[in-house]
Amino acid sequence: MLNLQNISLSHGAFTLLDGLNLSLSSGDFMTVIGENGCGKSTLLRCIAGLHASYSGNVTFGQRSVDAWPAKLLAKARAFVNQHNQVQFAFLTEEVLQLGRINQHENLAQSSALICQVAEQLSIGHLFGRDVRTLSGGERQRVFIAKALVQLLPNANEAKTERDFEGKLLLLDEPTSALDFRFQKAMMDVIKGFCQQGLGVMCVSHDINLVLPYATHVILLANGRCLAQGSAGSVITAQNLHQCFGVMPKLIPQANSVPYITH
Amino acid sequence: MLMHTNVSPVQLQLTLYARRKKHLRAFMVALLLAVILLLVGLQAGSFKQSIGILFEALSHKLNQRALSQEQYLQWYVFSELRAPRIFMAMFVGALLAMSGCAMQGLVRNPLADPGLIGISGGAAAAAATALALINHYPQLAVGGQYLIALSAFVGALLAVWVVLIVARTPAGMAISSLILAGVAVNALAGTHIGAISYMANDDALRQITYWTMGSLGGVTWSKVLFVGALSLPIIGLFMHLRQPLNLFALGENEAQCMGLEVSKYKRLILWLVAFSVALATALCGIIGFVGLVVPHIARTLFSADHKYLMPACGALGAILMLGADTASRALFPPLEIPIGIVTSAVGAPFFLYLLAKQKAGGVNA
Repeated sequence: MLNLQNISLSHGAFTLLDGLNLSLSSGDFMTVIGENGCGKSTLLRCIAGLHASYSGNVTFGQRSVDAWPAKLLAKARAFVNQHNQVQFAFLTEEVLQLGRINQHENLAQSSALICQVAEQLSIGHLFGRDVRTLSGGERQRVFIAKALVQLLPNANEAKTERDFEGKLLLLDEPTSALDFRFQKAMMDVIKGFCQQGLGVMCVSHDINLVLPYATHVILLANGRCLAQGSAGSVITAQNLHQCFGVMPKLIPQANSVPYITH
Repeated sequence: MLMHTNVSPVQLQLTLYARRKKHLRAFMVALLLAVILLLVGLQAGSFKQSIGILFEALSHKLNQRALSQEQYLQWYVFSELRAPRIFMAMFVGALLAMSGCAMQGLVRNPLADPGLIGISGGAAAAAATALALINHYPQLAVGGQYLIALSAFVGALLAVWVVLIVARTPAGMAISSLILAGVAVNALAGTHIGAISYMANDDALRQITYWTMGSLGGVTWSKVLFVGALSLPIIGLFMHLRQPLNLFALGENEAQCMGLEVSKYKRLILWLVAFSVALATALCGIIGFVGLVVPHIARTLFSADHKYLMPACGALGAILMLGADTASRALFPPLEIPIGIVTSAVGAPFFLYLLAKQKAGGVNA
């Protein structure tokens, strides 16, 4: 459903992305790994349609991502930024309600969907709170919930086992502020949505957390793809050394995804 | 991963309904307050109006009976002086407050003011030029009023246009350069006014000073109809911006990803704010702090959600302006204090209080 062909982006003399090709299908969980400043977030922003000046093609669901009407695209693709700041006294449920802004439905229908997601991400107890007073991790959960709420189909559409078929969730370090418990819980929830057809592209530095969930892994270095494929084939000491410049130790695990340490 | 969470959809729905009801109730109270102020506003000033006599005059008029001299005088002051002024105050107050709300929402800063992007500076510089010219060439004085209003209007829009040109980048309008360009344009306008004031004679200087203090004096029905006819579509557009402003509150990237055409709406908001503040300033001079303070009060009383905030700002702006106008006539009769002085005298200390509160580390309203 998502196809990138020869994506390049430069800013002055500085090359941010250099000839990237990749494709993602419904239900895939793709992890993007690479050192700081190698172009991971830029890649996500290109796919989200936030960068206009790249060359190459980003095709999402049969058409170029730039050719999508904004509101239609917003129902099919959601993006969770690394940092989320709200300047005014919005309440948690008001932020979530904004996720349903493009849908034609009544308050009862949107409330039902919001509560369903809020329960899965354990943020129901934050209802009624000003989002500016939430902790970093709580806020991160609220914004991931908002992105999921944004992608949920309308109650008027037929409900199926694969509610998220053809939909894309872009995550920029979704677990960076989460505590030990919620790091794993969040991944489990997102993986659950993948089983309903959601395609996920996730930038993360927490390699050991993300790898077991990933169906595809991409190693980026200086805006270029170093290797891509299944975790088992991409995660080698050689590749990681080339990517990060340090030699890691790989501890083999039962699930064929090694545990990486210094 | 079910944990300490148990909100039922019904519960959330009820909470949201209850909030709507609460806001509606507060809105009704605000409207009631407006009516009371309207009646008090009639009484205030050097000429005391009697509601009883006004009703008598009205019934005589309806029955096509002759009015007594007292009735005639009361009716005249009411229909030709007080009433148009009250309407003008409400229109201008609503325009300024809604502009402030849109501006703060757009730049995501509760301390922003429409004047930030050079609107009032440009208007004042152009009006001062027109005033000095009229003073110098008495033959211009015939259409003087209109000339001043028109040049203030054009000056305001010109200033905004310059600011927008400077702030334009390939990636869209950058809010930070927008504000810096606004500061520069305001400084330039200040210099221009200074130079004109230096060269002007005492009479022109007095008029310039008076203009920059804002006034609702000399309002006629034709002006009210003009502003009213333009205000209604503007207010309609402001109402249309409620959800886009909610998305802007989450940040521009977020808004874009949620389906808002950010650059289009940014331009729309800026020009709408520029147009409405230019309109208000052209007809009434500079009336400061309404655009800054009213959204704050509305946020505290109602909600940060622009669905409620925008109409609340409109109503509160109208009410506050009515109150300020009443105060300007009632404080030292028969003297009438320029309304800009009243709004600044109340607004500036309030602004300082907000700053102090924000600095104290608390979450600002």
